[in-house]
Amino acid sequence: MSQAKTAPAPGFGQRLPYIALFWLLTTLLIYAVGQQTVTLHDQEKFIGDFDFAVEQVEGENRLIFSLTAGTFLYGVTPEVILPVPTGRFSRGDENAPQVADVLFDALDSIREITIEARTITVVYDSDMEAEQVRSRLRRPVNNAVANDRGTITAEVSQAAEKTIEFSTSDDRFRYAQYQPALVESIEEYDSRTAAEAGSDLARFIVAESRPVESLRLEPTRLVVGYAESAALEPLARNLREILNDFHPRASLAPDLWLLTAAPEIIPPLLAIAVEPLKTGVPLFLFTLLMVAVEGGIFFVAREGKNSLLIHLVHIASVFLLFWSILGHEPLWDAILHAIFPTSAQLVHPQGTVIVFAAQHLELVLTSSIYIISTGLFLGVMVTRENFREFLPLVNNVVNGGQTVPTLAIVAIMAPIIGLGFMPAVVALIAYGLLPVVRNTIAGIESVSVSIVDSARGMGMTSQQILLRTEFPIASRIIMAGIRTSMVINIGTATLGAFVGSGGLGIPIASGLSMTVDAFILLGAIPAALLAILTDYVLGRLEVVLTPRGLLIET
Amino acid sequence: MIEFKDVIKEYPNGFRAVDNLNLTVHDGEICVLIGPSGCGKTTALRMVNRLIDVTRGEILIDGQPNDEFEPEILRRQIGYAIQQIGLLPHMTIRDNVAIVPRLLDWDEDRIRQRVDLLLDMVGIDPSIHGDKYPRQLSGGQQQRVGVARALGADPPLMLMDEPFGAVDPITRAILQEEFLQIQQEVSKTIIFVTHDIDEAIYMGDRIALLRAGRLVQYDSPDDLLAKPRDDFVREFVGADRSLKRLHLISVKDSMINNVPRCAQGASLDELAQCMDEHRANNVFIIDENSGKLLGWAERSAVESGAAPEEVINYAPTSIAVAEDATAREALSVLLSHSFDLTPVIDANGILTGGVSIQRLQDLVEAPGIHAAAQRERGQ
Ligand SMILES: Nc1ncnc2c1ncn2[C@@H]1O[C@H](COP(=O)(O)OP(=O)(O)O)[C@@H](O)[C@H]1O
Ligand SMILES: [Mg+2]
Repeated sequence: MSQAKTAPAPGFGQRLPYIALFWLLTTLLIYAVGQQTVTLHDQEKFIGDFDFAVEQVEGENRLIFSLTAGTFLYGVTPEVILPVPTGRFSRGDENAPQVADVLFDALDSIREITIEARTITVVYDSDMEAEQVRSRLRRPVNNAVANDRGTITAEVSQAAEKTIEFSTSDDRFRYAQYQPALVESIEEYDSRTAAEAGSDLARFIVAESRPVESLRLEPTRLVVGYAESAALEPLARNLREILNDFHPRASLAPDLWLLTAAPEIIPPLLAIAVEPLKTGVPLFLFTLLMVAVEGGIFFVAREGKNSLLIHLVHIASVFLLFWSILGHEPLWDAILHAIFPTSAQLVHPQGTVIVFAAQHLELVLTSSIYIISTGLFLGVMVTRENFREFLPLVNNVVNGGQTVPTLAIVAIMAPIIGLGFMPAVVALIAYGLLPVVRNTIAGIESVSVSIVDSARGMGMTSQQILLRTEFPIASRIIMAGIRTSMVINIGTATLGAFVGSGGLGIPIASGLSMTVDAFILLGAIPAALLAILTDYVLGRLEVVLTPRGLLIET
Repeated sequence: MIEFKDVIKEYPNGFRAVDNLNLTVHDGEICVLIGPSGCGKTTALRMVNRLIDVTRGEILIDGQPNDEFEPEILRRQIGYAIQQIGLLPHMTIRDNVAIVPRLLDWDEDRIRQRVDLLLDMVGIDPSIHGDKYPRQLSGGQQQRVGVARALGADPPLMLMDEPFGAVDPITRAILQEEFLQIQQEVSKTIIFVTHDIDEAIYMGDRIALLRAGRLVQYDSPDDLLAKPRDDFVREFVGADRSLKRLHLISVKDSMINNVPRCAQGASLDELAQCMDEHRANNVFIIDENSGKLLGWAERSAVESGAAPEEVINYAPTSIAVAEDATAREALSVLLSHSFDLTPVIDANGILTGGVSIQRLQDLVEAPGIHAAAQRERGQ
């Protein structure tokens, strides 16, 4: 007999609080990662350019570089925060503020920028999709202004054509006036060995330039002592390049944040959960909370208590963790940099990981809603007495849907409904229907004849038999079909990029065409993670939705 | 009362599974449908609650044609139990038994009471098993739940299609006995399908023997055994039908009261005299005061002239049968000892009579007596 399987666990010794341990490890990991300062050396500048005035000290082997523009350390507290000057600016305006310059640089087709206290209106000329323009400009705006990213929303203007409006919920847009500064305090190194053990910048300079013999870093000046044999002109030029190269762009410090990004296009249901850009709660505090919650669940709820709430807690918490990490741009920069230290391009021009992932999820969820409803309907229909004759037909159609390559379906439909989101959804539906239909049929047919017969004999109507008998008993098999379909769907949806549906396929496609490996990973890693997450979530749901009596093995 | 009137069932392929069936099942009776596999028992049964439609003829329930009801409404008033049981695996035992009451919208308090009562009745402790799932029970327990479920909404009629067919013979015998006890209490009108003649004889008030869709004989078990209508019936009930009949009679009904008995301490002469009086070859020794059976003595031993204490065998239980045993058990004891007469004792061990081979033979050959004996037994 199987009674032992459902009896409550006699003691805690037999079962470990694995989930709480998982969260504990995650906490430690996030805390450790959060304490890292990761610097990326990138050709792309964040704010303006650097410039130096170089002078030689008479009679000594010394060069003095004085910073005249820009700053080295990203994340250093700006010294002044000023309101962004308002006005209407067009390309090339002398008096255009830095914010406008950054935007003009980000997109060539920008014609005019109007800055008011709480809105920045951008008018552009190109034929690019408004959505794309918006996502491309979003990050430069975020970086150029000093307002917290969570306060900024970007919208395609309803009133005017080819116009994007950025607005802030703060009282007004501000920008940081960085005082030119090399370092925060004075650093002095009188030998190469001392510099090699010094700060990042010091190490970088001695590593890149052989003639340098001593260094003094001041907030606005760099004093370089050089070997007598060095030729002055090449050395000055070389040092200027080195300093230009040293450009810390991203920083993880002090830690990762919960819900780091707000995708604009995520379906409304999820948008509630991810709206704040940065909630202000460090991620490790959240994971620490989960240690407590899971520990509590472990000690309070005994085994066998298959409570829906507990499963939902698991699902929601893992989703939050996943989404926070997905949205953490500096972390992705750091990961890609670690894998491709020499890659010049790490930042995708069309958007961030979270934006692609949100588009992807939207594509998958939309198509899955159609797949599940259609699949269940078809599966139920052909198992009804009256429609059994359609079983072979439906089987052939759904089998066919999966045999025809997705791209072929899109190609066939493109002339009819064009490119974009919907054709991709239709192709995904055609491709994903098979597992759901097949498993619905298999699930319902797995209900033994005698069970249906006794249900009928007791006086259940056909509808009652379907809802109270066939569905509950088939639920596990049906859920397995849905799970298979959705996980496959996540992979297939990357092909949507070829028809302009957006999603994680975009970085993959552009990575392939531009041969930037980093971009391929930028799409592939999150897609894989998304598939694993979906599999996990649906696996849990499968357990939750399977009636308890069916989980007992005989 | 259930009446089949000229009922014909032809399946769409033209096969006639039930052919002109006329049958009346009286209130409170168990009517057993029996016959070889494929003879149409299940078909006939399932036409009653309209799981199968009648092709021609009609089935009356308490005088009303059963096709005047909505099928679902009809089925909720008729208990239904099948060999495969068909418990819903995702529902607890209690929920399974509560299915029909819930379909009938009983209030939950009443359902709860009814369910626990029924589970108790079929020998399933609701406080232990009520919240378990079917897969956690043994086959026999599941069968009991199946019966409880069929009784769920206290339907006046029950249809049972080989309800004890899937369990081992020992469990089956227990279930049969318990079900008869329940039936004494609830007194349902039951159609019971089986292919096991012993079960039919044991359970049935009347037995309808079918062959290829036709009713061959419809009689009480005893009449079926005593007066098989034709060779088919004779063959079907088996060559051992006489033995089977003995099953139907209790020892109490078949014993004679006047048996050779002597009190403990009687002399050899007294023993011999007692045997002579009864023209018997053995004599039973009883306790003078209580009348309890203590042992027996055989003629050969008595005549050998040994001391009385050595003549008597003290092993009463090995030769005696209980009053409430069947005549067949008495026969078995008779055959395993070389007695003319086997002693019968009551629950207290008191000698009340004896059963002889001759007596059993008379009973088997004279049907009238058995019918009377069985009636006595039943009421
Ligand atoms: N749906 C059907 N179509 C055709 N023939 C059937 C159908 N169901 C049963 N039969 C035939 O009818 C006969 C009687 O079946 P059934 O009533 O199940 O027999 P049993 O007496 O064994 O319960 C069998 O010969 C069987 O093959
Ligand atoms: Mg049958």
